[in-house]
Amino acid sequence: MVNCQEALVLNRSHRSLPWYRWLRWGDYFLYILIVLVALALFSRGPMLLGPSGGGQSADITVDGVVVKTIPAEQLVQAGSFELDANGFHYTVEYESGRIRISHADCPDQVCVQTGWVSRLGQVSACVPGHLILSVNGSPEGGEGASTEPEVDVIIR
Amino acid sequence: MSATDKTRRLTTNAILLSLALILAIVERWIPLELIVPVPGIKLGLANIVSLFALVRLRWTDALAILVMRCLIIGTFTGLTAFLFSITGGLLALGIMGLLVRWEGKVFSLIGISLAGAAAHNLGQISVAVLLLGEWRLLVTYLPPLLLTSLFTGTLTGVAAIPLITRFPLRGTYAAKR
Repeated sequence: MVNCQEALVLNRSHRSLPWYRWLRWGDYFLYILIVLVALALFSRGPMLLGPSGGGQSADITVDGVVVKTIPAEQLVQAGSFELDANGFHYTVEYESGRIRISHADCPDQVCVQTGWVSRLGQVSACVPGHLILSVNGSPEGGEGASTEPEVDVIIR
Repeated sequence: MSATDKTRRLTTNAILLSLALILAIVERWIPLELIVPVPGIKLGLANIVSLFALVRLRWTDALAILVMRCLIIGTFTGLTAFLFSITGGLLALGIMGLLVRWEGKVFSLIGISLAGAAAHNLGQISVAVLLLGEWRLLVTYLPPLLLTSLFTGTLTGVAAIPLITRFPLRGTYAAKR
């Protein structure tokens, strides 16, 4: 815990300065660290999931179970469908390799705000409905693909 | 701690709690996600109160104010929103409580508030990861939230400094330590 008297003296010297002059070296370090972590997660995150291979497919998961898979060849075309999960109603749209939840009647609307997802490993999630929309490597894409083959059979 | 100090502590914390509640409510009026379309974005105004309590009072006071604020707001927003705010809030408070030791030497309050904002986002997304069992949520949701936390964290830090500077130390029980 900071010595309060000392902090008061330091803070008084702040008054005549513009806000960016209050910054200390540790602050700059934190700014850089946060930017680096964000960029690393954004750029390297999908690579942790394995090679993307050929096309990308999309999976809808409810309560941890894949309920629908849109195969790569279908994902590049335009289409939409509706589904219900845990009492909420969702409309999913896809076109040219990207997919989104366009309408949902869940309370927080985070999944709708997420918008289009198209990169490998990207997800659009609804916490109240326990629903996850994820972009995965297609089964033909190689060993990194996480789509279960038997699920594909059900859809086809 | 004398009886007067105990009363002072109680009233100070009660006032800060009501201030935190007001800020949390005002924050919900601002449709920030319409201006910056990042899912889960929050201004984090109530963090000003946590920061104040950490610097001017004790960490136990900051903790009590935080938990009470999350519980009271949580009764209106529901369980999921409560889990998001309490986990994010506790992680933010932990990080800020750690960094506040070096306030004025290594970090300014802006940096401490920034770290708190980033920690809040990490806690928030971690809850979603645990609830849904999908760690890839981190990849999609954390980077944009971290980048916006640079602005929201700086904003709350800049807002907190005049408040903390103007608040007199003499007369508060914390000054007698």
